[in-house]
Amino acid sequence: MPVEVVEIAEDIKSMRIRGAGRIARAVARGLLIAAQKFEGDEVEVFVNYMNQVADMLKKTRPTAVSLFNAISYVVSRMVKAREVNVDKLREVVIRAAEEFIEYSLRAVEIIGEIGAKRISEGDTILTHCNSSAAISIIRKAYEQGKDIKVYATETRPKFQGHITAKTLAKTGLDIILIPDTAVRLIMRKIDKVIVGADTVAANGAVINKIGTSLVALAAKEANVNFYVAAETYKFSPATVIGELVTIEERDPEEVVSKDYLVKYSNITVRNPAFDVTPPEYVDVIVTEKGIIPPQAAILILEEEYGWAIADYILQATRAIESDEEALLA
Amino acid sequence: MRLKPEYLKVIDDIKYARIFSSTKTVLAGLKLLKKIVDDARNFEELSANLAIVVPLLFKARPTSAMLLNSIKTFVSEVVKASETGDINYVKQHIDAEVRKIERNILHLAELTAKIASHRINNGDTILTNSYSTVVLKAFKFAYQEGKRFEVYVTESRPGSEGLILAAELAKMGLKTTVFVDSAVRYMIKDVDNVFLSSEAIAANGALINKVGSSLIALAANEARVRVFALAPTLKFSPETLLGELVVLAEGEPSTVLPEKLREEFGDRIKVRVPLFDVTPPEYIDAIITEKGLIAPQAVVMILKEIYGWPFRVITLDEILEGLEVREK
Repeated sequence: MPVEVVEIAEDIKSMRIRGAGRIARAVARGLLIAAQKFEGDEVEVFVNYMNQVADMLKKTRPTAVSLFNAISYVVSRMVKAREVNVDKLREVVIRAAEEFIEYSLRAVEIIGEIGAKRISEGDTILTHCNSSAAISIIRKAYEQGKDIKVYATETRPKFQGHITAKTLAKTGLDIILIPDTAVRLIMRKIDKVIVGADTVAANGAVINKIGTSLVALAAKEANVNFYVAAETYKFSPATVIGELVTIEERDPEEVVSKDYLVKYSNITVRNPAFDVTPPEYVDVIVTEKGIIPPQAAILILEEEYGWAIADYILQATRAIESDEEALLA
Repeated sequence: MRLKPEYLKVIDDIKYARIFSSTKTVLAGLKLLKKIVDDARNFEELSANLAIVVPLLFKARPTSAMLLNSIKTFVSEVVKASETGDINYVKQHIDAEVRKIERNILHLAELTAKIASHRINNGDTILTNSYSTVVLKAFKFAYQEGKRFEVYVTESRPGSEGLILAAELAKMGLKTTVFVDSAVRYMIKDVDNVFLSSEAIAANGALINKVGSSLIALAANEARVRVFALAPTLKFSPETLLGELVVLAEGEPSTVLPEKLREEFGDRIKVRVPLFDVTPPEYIDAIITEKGLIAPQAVVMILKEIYGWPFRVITLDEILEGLEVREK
């Protein structure tokens, strides 16, 4: 295993590299380096070696969808190539990794371009939390000269809304910050809601910052369009075979002070980081590959991560084989 | 004429919701009005001060029906007592009257809470927000009745009064859980009933309450969780019968806008700090009053009982006119 690849794995594990996009690009680079450093001329050995590298990288952050998908992107292309020449297969892997890194960098920009077309002159937009993809759309629309107004929720507990406000204010946009509780009251003034996504599930459900589903519900009630901006590497192939997305519960100290926790030790403080927005509350998902209705998430998953899904099905098939044999015996 | 700073401070505290709970806010307002009567050396001073403070006090919290109702009763009593022409009699009379109003407010709050406590069952999980004297009392009654239940409290930004309510519940021994306002839809699946307090109840049964209440009711409605609004009839707004819209007050911008952002971006980043929102009657299963539970659509029945048929609602302006006549 090349030392550079081990280093990348260590950096992800220790969170020196973090953020969905950066992690994804780092593992792609890891696979690229591994392919370059491979010595030998047997295809089978190369494939086994690449799979080992992939497994090692996957273990660094087992719940990060983007990491898994970056690996799938590269490995699936290696498998699909059915190449018998090691050097040619190596080229396939290197090209796939480079392609992934480039597309990851470009994805946010493309999403901005595609999404901005959905923004009309004079629109009032609401966003929740801090999503670079959502911001990309708003910024692009503004750069196109559209006169738009933006509301941003402050987004407790960590106030990521302040970062959104700052970023957009620097662009020259006027921002109105509101507490999360004011979402339903403000919704009457809103034309479009744009949020990002942490993970998109196979059925089109969107897992994103806590409160997103409440914003979506209020938008639905008020008949306001609800758009999700998400790079395709946020779509989770594991959900195709029924895996649930784990909702992380974070430190209570993000919500209340340490003093409060100590003073009222019998109060439970819950701090779920994400919630699930059902697909029926989402009008469209804007990806770098185009705009899709959430229910068509499976299209993205099949096209981009078909190999990963097939692999899951294969594993499931193996798991039931012994049962079947026992039944037939 | 300049107002005493201590008068203005009370009005400011009310305006920026520094006093938790609408009941306590009204009591603070009444205390201020009584102080003005006590401090007055003659009728001119009394009329002049009230003519300034009463509208200011009302405008400090225009959303609160109970505040307006109490102010109206108070001013009517001042006008009535002033007919004697004896300022000392006015002071005595108002002292007794204010005590009566206060007792009535607390009595109706307790009665409402007692009735509401009947809707809490063993093993229930109740969700509430903000800080309400009536809701707190309802939990106390249910707990004293031996019921064991759990309370979920949202932080309730801006103001974060939920944290104070949670602290009181925990001290009482109740199992209490706190989370951010945006987690309501995530947590609602574990909730049996929602208890909301009230700032005002409009003629159509709409509930005006701490901002975020309507979002909670919406999430509860989606999850088919029952929503109860606790509102002594003093919180019913007769003005809405005449078509008046309830004015939704805004809080201090600094509660939402951090100083650093304001300094760096000036006007580029603005804030809205609504303190209240409106929950439509269709999201409320029942309004719990001291007279019992009613459907929100039946609010007019109670208003009819109080204001007769056809409705006879005397506005604050009409009452204040009585005060001005006395001044001459």
